[in-house]
Amino acid sequence: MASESKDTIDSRPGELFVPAEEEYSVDNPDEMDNSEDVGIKYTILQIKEDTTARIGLYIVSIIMIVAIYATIDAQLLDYAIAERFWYHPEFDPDSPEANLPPIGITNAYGEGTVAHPLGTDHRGRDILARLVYGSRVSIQAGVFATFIGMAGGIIIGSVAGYYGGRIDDLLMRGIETLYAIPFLVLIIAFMSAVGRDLVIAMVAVSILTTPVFARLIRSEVLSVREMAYVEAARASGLRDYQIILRHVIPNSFASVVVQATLQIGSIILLIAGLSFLGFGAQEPTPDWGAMLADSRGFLLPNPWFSVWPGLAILITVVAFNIVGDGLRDALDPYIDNSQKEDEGRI
Amino acid sequence: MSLFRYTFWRLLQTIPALFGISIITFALINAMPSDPVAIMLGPEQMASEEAIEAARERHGLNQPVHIRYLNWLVAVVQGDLGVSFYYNGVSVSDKILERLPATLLLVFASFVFSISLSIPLGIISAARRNKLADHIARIISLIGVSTPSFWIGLILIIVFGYYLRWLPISGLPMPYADPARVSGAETQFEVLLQTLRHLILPTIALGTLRMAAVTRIQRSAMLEVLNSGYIDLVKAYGVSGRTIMRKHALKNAQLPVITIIGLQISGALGGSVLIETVFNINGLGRLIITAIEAQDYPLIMGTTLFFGIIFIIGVVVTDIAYAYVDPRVSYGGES
Amino acid sequence: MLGNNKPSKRSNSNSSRRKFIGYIGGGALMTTMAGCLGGDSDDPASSGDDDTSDDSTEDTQTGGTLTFAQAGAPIKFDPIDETDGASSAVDAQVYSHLFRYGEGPDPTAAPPHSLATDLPEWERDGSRMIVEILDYAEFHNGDHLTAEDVQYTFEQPLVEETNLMSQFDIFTDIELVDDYTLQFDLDIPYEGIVHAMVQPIVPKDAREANRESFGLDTVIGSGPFELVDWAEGEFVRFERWDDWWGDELPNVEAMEWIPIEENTTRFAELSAGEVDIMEDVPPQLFEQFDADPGVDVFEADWLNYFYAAFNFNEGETTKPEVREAIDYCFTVETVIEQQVEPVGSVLHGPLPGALAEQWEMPVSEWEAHWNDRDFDRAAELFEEAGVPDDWTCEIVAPPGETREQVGISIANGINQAGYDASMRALDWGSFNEITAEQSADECNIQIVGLTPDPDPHSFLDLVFHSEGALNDAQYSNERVDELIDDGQRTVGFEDRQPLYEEAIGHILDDRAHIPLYNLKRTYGVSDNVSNFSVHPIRNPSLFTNRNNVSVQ
Repeated sequence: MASESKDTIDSRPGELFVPAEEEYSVDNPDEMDNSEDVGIKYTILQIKEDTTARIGLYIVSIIMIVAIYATIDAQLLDYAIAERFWYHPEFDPDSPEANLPPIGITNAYGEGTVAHPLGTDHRGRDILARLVYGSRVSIQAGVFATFIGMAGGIIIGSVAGYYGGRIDDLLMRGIETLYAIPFLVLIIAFMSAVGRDLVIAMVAVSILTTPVFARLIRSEVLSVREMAYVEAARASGLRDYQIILRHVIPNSFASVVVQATLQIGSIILLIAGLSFLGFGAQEPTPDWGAMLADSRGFLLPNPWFSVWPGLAILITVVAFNIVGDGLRDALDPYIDNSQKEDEGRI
Repeated sequence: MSLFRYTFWRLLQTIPALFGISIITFALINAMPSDPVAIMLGPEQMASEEAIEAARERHGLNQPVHIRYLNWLVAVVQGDLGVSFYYNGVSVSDKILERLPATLLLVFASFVFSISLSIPLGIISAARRNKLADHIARIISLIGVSTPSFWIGLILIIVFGYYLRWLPISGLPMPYADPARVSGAETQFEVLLQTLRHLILPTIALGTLRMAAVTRIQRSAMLEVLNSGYIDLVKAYGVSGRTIMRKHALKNAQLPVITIIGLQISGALGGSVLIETVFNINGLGRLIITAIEAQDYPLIMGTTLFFGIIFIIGVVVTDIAYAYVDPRVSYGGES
Repeated sequence: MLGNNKPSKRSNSNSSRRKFIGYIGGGALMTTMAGCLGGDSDDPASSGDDDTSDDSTEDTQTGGTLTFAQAGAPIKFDPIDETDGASSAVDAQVYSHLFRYGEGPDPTAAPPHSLATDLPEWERDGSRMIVEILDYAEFHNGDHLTAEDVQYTFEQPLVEETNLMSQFDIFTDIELVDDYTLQFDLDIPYEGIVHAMVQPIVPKDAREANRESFGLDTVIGSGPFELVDWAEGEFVRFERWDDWWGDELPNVEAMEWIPIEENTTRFAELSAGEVDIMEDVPPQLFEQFDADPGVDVFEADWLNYFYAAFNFNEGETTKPEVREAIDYCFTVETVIEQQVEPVGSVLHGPLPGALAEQWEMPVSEWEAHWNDRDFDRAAELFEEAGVPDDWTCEIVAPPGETREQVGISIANGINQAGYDASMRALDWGSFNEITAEQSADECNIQIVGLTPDPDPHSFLDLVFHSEGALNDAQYSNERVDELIDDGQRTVGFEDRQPLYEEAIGHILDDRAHIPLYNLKRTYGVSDNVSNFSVHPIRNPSLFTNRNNVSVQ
């Protein structure tokens, strides 16, 4: 399920993304002078030019804000805000009106009302409120798993790539084995053994995200390893880990960031799938995937119930993907966004 | 090293991975909290110590873990995956083989669907970069890659199954099934038609994500090649655009695409679990869910192992295809 | 029952923990044809207006194939080793039963549908039964059916240690008086055992000769239908056995049963005309039946008992104030109204409505026993009992949509009273494990269902007797034990009734359980089907002593 994260290609013929503060020159003989076309400033400029990426960024920011709000209210304040000013997303309402359609539509259970603009679920809970609070699970899972995976992947990948040889083989075989069992199946089996808990799901997803980053870092490291400046650094007596930390990792950072952004979207989909099967968030925690599972029994009476959570997932993941794409374009020295109006190359 | 020797070496490398899966699977199963004996016998019988012991003996649950693992492994290598608890005596391998065709059919159909759409789309997108066609293709693939497959399934069911009633929404008869066993079919040809009808919705649901992902890869791979110095060089020699596309760009762009397609096998198998659940298809994915719900250890182990094997085969095939296509790859050393 | 009909080895597909006996459970109530939707009003006892069970011969036709959508997939057809309801339903068509049910919950002899020619004769103060069977019954393979096959059917589960073992171990000896007469000796007198004898009979010789494949590739019964082909998870195909030895033949020529677990899909198939009858109509689909003129809901009260059991082993729930407090956390009528109706009704005591009526129980007293929601009172009681502020009430249930939703309601109530509560729907394996352990951190309340024989003994003994097989909550009350034991061996309604009434009184006072609800049997039926009816206990009733269904 997370496979579309393999958006990046493992080995690239010849580009390097060198941060501007690096003192060694870029190994890029036959190109025009684009020594200014690198660096953080440039990247930001590129993004600014890219309308789509900007839109994506806005959406992501909105969602993150919502998720942060939801996290604060749900986990720190125990839904105090929701209870006072809105609807408690987990409790059953006192006089529940179940399965109401969105405003403007009427179904067998009643008419849509302003009080519940997107309708109510099968227990009478407001769908909009549950969507808002459901973002917490998705975003937390996405961010958490991505970071852990990134951290683990960087360590494993850089060690494997830098040292090569048997260590590399060993680690890579291990990574491959981890890849061997399809994510979903493995996680489900894992959770049957250990318990159906959201935290466990997140941990499992994190572990399974590591290989993605490991392979990425490793290939980056491999391409950088033979570079002149690394040789020079080694010659000047720098220790291995220092080399890794100071040169290798920063060099690969760009692609890692791109991958991470795309990975968040993947993970959100994965968690939604798990929740849909009953292995993610448990009742009454609001969660988009779980809401889709609930909606299944009510497809006929209230089809709108299944539309909203799916839309939420869709928009969120699209936004992250757009940002990821934008980042990748921005970081690619061959693409100049200020020339985006040009015709295609052929 | 020749292709042949590479293949052989690559296959050899799968063995540790296979071991790895088997150990992981076995460990998982044994970490499960429930006592299979309790489930099988039901609470009344639990009172009788003899009954419990007898059941344990029968299923060899009395021995220490490593012995059980070895016993299991030996059996597996001989093709014996044990006997299902839940399905009361049916052998696990039989059960898997029974359910396998549906999953394979579904996965294969979704591959065909996704590849036949995504490669042309990706190429057009790259060739007409930043023009309307590109934008449309990019939007479609962006949405495709971001939508949960089971949601697409649900929406398809609502629209085509309930409201329009054009297509069936449950089950998947095999094209080689006996017409007598397939409702609505008298001849073998009609059986095939039924298969196709039942296949349409699940394929779209399962295949959309793959299609979108491959489109994106195809596009970016093509762009990369098109932008590389090599193409400029060729252009400088006056080779026509079309020929460039066909002979040079396309071939080189296929490498990453092949890699992605192969790696997506894992995703497709995982995705089939969801789609089979939504569309009530009796495939391997659903079998795993049933097995886990019923805590049927032999079945869980057998199916998980099987999934792993299929995936590894996919990876190996991909690697070999990759090696075949790319003359630059050296078969020794790292890639 | 709703949605998640994952058949488990230990429950019938309709969310009951009691194994395949799920079919037994009676109702003094007749089959009701809630033809035009019992949709909204909770009208469980709309007593049989249209009694299609009188064998109406209008609209009967011979021929046609009846398609039936089951809610779960059957896996094996061996009555000795039956594990799930879906398979038992198939068995009921292909094998003959020793006894049958009449209109209501009492077993009867109704040859040729039952092999017994008459109800058993009791001797030795109720600890010996003499049963006579027909002499002209035959199996599909031509073998004659004799008392030996009956004896085999009742002895074999103990030999093979199958699920039926616990039901039949009350028999100390089964003797063959002659080829068509048996003598059953019981360990203790128990009238209710006849319920367990509404049992399909297997062919001894054929089964012994084909032990491995019996129930899978080899299915040989003596019933009016033959099982001609099946594929697990796909279909089961029956054909009328034209040489059946009974005096009447089924109207339908053939049947095809298809398992469709997803409710909405099942309904879609019914509505589209792909199937004629569907099992199990969840509440949210009643509206759809309203809207569609070609299909109806048929329902009948079933005899089961769904309840919330408190952990009497350890933890806060061992304190009576805590149990009372939890009672104040929710109004059971409201919860059941929202989550269960119209496919069930609320229960206030451990016997479902019809059975309680039949046994003249003080139901209104029971009702008065339970409290409406009052969070303040609940909080008070929790305080009194010294429950720590950070206590989390763990509620567990096996898979099943309704149970889960009811559990959530209870958890929410406790949450609102100020304490944490978490509701977990577990798979059968984990559920059994956790409830066997009864640890205070994992299981304070369990929500389960019970569908035993329609005799108060079964309902009470299993869960309230300190040695009850399903009493893993470990409730124990000596007086109750006494009463249950006495009740079993006492013969005669007059003498048994007061024992059970008293026992239940104690149980309610102790608040061992919070009784929740009783489910109905519901079927969705298309207009082209005639003479279908729903029996409180044995279903689907397609060709029985009560009806003979036909299809256009």
